[in-house]
Amino acid sequence: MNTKIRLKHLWILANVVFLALGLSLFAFVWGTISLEDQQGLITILYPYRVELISAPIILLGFFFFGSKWLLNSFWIPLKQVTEEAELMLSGNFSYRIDPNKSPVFQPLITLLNREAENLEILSNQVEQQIINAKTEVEKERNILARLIDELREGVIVCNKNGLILLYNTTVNTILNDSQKGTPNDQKTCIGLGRSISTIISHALFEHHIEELLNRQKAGNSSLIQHFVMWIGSQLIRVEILGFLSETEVFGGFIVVFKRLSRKADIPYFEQFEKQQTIKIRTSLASVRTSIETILSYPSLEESKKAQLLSIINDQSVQLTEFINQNRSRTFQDLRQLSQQSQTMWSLQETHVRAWLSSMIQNEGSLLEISVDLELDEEDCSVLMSQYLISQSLLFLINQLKREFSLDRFLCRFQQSEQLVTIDLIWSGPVLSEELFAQWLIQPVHQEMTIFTVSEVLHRHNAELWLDADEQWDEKKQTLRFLIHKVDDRDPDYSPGDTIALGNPPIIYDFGLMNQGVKGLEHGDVKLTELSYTVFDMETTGLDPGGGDEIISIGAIRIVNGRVLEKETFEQLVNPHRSIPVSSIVIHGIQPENLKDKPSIHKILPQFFKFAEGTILVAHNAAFDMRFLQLKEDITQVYFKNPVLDTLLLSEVVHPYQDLHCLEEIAKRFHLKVEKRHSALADAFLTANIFLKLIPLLNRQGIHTLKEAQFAEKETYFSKLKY
Amino acid sequence: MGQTKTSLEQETPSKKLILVVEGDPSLRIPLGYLLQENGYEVVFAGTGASALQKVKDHPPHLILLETILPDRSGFEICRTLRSKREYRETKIVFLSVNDGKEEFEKGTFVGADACIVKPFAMTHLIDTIQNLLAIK
Repeated sequence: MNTKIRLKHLWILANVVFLALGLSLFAFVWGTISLEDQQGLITILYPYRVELISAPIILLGFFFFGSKWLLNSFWIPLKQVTEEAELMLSGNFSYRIDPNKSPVFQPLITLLNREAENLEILSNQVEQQIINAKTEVEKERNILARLIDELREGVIVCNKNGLILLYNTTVNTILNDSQKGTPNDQKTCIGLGRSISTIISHALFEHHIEELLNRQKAGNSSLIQHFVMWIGSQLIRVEILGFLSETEVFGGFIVVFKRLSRKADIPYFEQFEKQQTIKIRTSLASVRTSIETILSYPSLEESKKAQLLSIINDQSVQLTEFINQNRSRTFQDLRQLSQQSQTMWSLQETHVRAWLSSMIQNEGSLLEISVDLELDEEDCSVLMSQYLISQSLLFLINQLKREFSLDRFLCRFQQSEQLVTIDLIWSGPVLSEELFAQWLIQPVHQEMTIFTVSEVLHRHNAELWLDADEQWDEKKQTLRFLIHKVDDRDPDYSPGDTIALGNPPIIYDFGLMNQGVKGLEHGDVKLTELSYTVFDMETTGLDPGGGDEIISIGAIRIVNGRVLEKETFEQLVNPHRSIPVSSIVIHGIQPENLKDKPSIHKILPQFFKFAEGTILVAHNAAFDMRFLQLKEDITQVYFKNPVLDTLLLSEVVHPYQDLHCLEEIAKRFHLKVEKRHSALADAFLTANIFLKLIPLLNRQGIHTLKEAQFAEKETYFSKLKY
Repeated sequence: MGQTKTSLEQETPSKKLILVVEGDPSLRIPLGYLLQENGYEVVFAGTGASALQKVKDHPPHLILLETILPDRSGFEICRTLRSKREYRETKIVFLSVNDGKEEFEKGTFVGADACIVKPFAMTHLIDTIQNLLAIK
């Protein structure tokens, strides 16, 4: 219940109690007097009856009006002045308490306002000094930021946990271009504080970081990993550069995304073309052999001739269909290929000797198996997905260990002119063909079920077989892995020419440097450390259950205590119903503006993706959440994010204030209200209000998400239902 | 190749057994007729596993082996055979859709005798087979 209403109820109760006590006292005293004495008293007091009746009424009146005066002119203003003084002194130095609020406290209010004025002057001076001091640094930083932003490459800087600290607009352009034609709910959202794994899968990123760490341990000064991967429909060359902190450990990573031209797409187009070639050549082989056989052997039996003619006919038909299908399908197929393999399928030029020794040294100890290495003295390169090949070999080693309890084996790397062989040799039990065949069709990693050993081999045009050469000791078995050496490809990939130079400044926040990934399930995380999606919706009316619909959603992110003005979501929605004039007056959205807009079932998945992994914040969130809830069935989008409500939080910090609407709260916090009732503008205002509320909540001992949610539940407005 | 002329008209002196390991029946059938017409006895296998079984049941003089089979790689089959003493002398000819240099090297590496790229000229195939079978 609202604190003021609660106080008023208390006041009425006090008056009733006072009256009841007076009456009870009288009744009690009267009851103790004998009947005769009562008669006597009535006779004596009768001439003073007016005075006797009016005295308690006057007393009661005094109590009634006195307590009301105390409450309205003293207690409530005192609480309000205290709240406002606290608000003022907690950093809002420009805030002034209305002196007419309470004549009683006018001198105190004047004093407080004067103090605030002094503090404001002082704070402005300090702020100016800080600004002056920062300007130079900021100038340099902005030049650097502008330079990074104008790069044709996409640049992301992330901390050691993979949280994005900086990204330039080119990254956005690359992602947007790559995802043309991708369903909206599958599009990647990039943003500060989000994880890099939204672009590069977690396992792949970890793998390359591991490689960098190994390189660093080995004293290698070149801390760069590079590989090629698909992002949507585009082939991207990715470079990961590690940067060291003062303590010589990785402070974070710079990830550079470079679009490859068609020329550089060669390995992938080769792969694709190869598949086409296989089909064409296979069919042609059948046709040619059939024709030649018919022509060369006229005496061939008629039935055989007919069979061969039928093969020619079938193959011709198949070939024609195949060519027709592929003429327009090349790119679509490539995209499909990329979607199937997601980002795992990334090739990189790998120095076999260095890679193998580092992998065996690092992983061998993890597998608790002793490995003798026999490496060709000369290193050579192969083009491969280091990650998938490593996983495949580790899978095989693990299987061997598990199946035969091996504790030792020999790993041998040899090369010929075109080929590289890696042998896993062990003594002891014989691996059967059947078991080996089973291993080939198993996934190389539990998390990547689409990549079986066979699939990985096939994609690399590599071979793996079981060798039990009889000339060797019978007990020695070999698993032989065979892969081609790399061609001398032109390493100088030129980027595509469609990247627009970014005009808006780069987006960064190095305050996130030491932050880890915060799971939403942890209610104990501090409010200041969480990421938020603050949103607002415009609707056709106030009755979600009665058929009112969402017509606009606006949202903005808060990361590391900063409203990210560049990371917004704004979308008009076609409600597929009429819009009452009464609501148009409020939001100003005309029905014709919505005719060609997408429906809610298209928009909500996008919004869901945008808000993923963050806390939802809204003003009067129960109302907005009810709309979202009612759409769950048709959109199949379920918002499970924790929710905070600025209306309730305002009531938590200012229980004695009369109003908790956005304008009033904004006024209290001296926030500029530029434009109301556009979803994004309201979300922006709500976000700023929320940031002002956090320190005030902290002063009340509310520091964590769980504590804030608990405090919300205790408020009057939280009991309202929509 | 001069002395062992390709002669579709000539009678092949002895009935030698050729195992055709080919996953695609539309090639298997004409290949079979072609080889039979050239005086060879032919057995077929559509997968790697059945090829190994057929080799065991009827050891052939020559194997035409597709590099890509439904169940496993032709290179692996070749390597498996070559690792067994009794098949070291069996002639193995790869039929491949890839014409890369590395494909030939891979074939040589696993001990094949020849590699023919699809689609091939009939004369080239028969020449190769005859030459190989003529070598002791």
